[in-house]
Amino acid sequence: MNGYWQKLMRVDLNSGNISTEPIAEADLKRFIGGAGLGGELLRRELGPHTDPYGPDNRLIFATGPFQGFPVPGGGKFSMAAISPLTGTFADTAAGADFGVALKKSGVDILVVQGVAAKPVVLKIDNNTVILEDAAFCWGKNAYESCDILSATYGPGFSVSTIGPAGENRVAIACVVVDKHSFAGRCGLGAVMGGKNLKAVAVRGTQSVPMARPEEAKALFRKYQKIIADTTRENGFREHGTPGLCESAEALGDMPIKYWTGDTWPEGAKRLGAPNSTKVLKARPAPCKFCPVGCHRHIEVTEPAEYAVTGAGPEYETYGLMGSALLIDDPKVVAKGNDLANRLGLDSISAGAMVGFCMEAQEKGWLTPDKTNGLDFSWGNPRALLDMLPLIANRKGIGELFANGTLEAARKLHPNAESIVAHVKGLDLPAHDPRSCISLVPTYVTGTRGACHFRGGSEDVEMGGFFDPDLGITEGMTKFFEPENQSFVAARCQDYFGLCNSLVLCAFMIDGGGLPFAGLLGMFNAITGWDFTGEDLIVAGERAFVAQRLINLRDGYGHDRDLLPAKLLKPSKEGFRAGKIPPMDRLLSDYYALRGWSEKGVPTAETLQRLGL
Amino acid sequence: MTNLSSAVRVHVTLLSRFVAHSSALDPEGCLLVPHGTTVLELADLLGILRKFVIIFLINGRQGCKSDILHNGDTVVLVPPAVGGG
Repeated sequence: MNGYWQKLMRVDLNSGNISTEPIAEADLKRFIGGAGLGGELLRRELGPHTDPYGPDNRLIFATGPFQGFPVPGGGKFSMAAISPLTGTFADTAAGADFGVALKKSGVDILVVQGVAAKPVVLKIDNNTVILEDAAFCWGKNAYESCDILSATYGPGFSVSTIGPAGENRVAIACVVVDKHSFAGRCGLGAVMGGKNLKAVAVRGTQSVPMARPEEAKALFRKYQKIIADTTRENGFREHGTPGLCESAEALGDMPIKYWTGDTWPEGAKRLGAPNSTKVLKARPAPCKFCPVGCHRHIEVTEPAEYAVTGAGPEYETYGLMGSALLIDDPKVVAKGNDLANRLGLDSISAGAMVGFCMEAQEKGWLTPDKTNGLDFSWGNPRALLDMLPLIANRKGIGELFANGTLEAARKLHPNAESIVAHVKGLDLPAHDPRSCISLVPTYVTGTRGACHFRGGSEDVEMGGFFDPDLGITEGMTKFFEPENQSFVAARCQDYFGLCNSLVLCAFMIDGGGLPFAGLLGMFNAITGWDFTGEDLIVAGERAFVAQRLINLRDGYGHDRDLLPAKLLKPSKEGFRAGKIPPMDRLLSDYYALRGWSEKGVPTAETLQRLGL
Repeated sequence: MTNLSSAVRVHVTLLSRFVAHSSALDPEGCLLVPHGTTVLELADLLGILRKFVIIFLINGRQGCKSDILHNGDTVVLVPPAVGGG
């Protein structure tokens, strides 16, 4: 088959058994791969309320049809599992070399289940697959682990590993890939640690077949150039995601003072590009086959306490470790980001935890006897930098946060839950749904919790993403007005869901200028299936709804399609002063568009249409 | 040269990468523009490509491309949002 091996590798850590199974062509055509197929596997193989740390939970590493080829933005892979943070479906994605290496090793999907009796590393070297004792790297931070495994196994291996946070089963632990990219959200690093799986190291050199090679290669070259030219012209390559900071603050999108503040222009200017590009000496650091290079490589030497050379912060981290904490020094955020990377922590959730502590201290709920001497005053850099190791190692106050911000709040004070900014227990990313109201249905129905990037609709509202072939056109939404917002939310969820199934970096379409027609052309040239655009969009919708079905059986229905209470209060000043999103209208429009009942359940007709 | 008798003075804030186009602004961040100037025409004067002028604020509210600028208006030009991830 073109674009695929039709091969699922299953590793049972209980028994040590490693086996392969065929993947049905029908499943690949319906779910494509990546998070789409990963979610469907979870739906079929697991029951409701699966223990995230139990042996039944599956930890899935999934590729799609793009990973065998130089598709621009195709150097990615998806992970899926039941999350220890939310207790339901989660997927997360990362770049670097791992997805391509896994695909070229001869595997489409890797499913890990069971729990190893002692820590192990899974080593995949093309067709040779073994489980090895991880004693030589267990206990090391994620960067050290990457280095040790690379040195031990030799050139050509890509490494996905966990740090102390994952080993300690901290529910916001991430998976670190080649010290370059991070499968961050929902704590899948903790699932990995709970299985005693320290790392997966993979080398692949096999050629994946494709249907129409000459046509495909011409399209790869064409869109590599278009995306490279577009992102040079629009500044995305030069400044990366930090270029968003000032715009987001001006439009009321950036989180300020843990979602209690309204404006902060001078802080956003200091944190964002072009200032942070200059201060951190940031330059593009592309993933494999990427013409954009949105990741930043930075070099900070002074002051010594903030010295970092390596991966720099993204906009999200400037939001949750910067503006949400009223920290306006990009070097502090860069140091916090680096610490989180080494410890193997999701920088968004880790920053959110510190923001929660700052507000809790302000309200008198977090007192010095509870904080190990940490002062959670707004803007205090040490509050961030000293808290991160405590979280990762579950020491002192860090232990309170081992299962996430929401559970910490419930333990801390009877009223503290009311200030947690979350959906389904996942801390909000750095986009405020009070401004970009298409994020209201996006967040509350988000299958992994509050996530802008399982949708990306805020970039439609803020002027950066349109595609007439998808029915998303410039000017179709206006800030604070409900018309078309739910359509944009649903359409973006389907399109980004498709991207996560193909495993294509969404920045190719959102910022990169890759048109839907181009994505469709590359897909058909690789697979030879000659899908229509509608076929692919429906595949994205199918993936999303399958994930929603997992949410529903895990108890996440309409009554939990809610925004956090603090985001239902109008702002006092700034762009969104006095505005509250029209929740009822947005959600009812959204359910109707989706073909779901008033209770947010896909109807029988909708399920039949999608073949679920 | 702008005819002062038919000009309006607007305050312009250029965000993020747009700041590279600020050379035409006076030290107070203002620009004299002909009466009847729209935001797109303002962008032309600043050297910003029209295709990047999608979201902008006039006096704190989202503006339309056909809006005429008046004396004393504050305009915030926002680069199209990319990279929300």
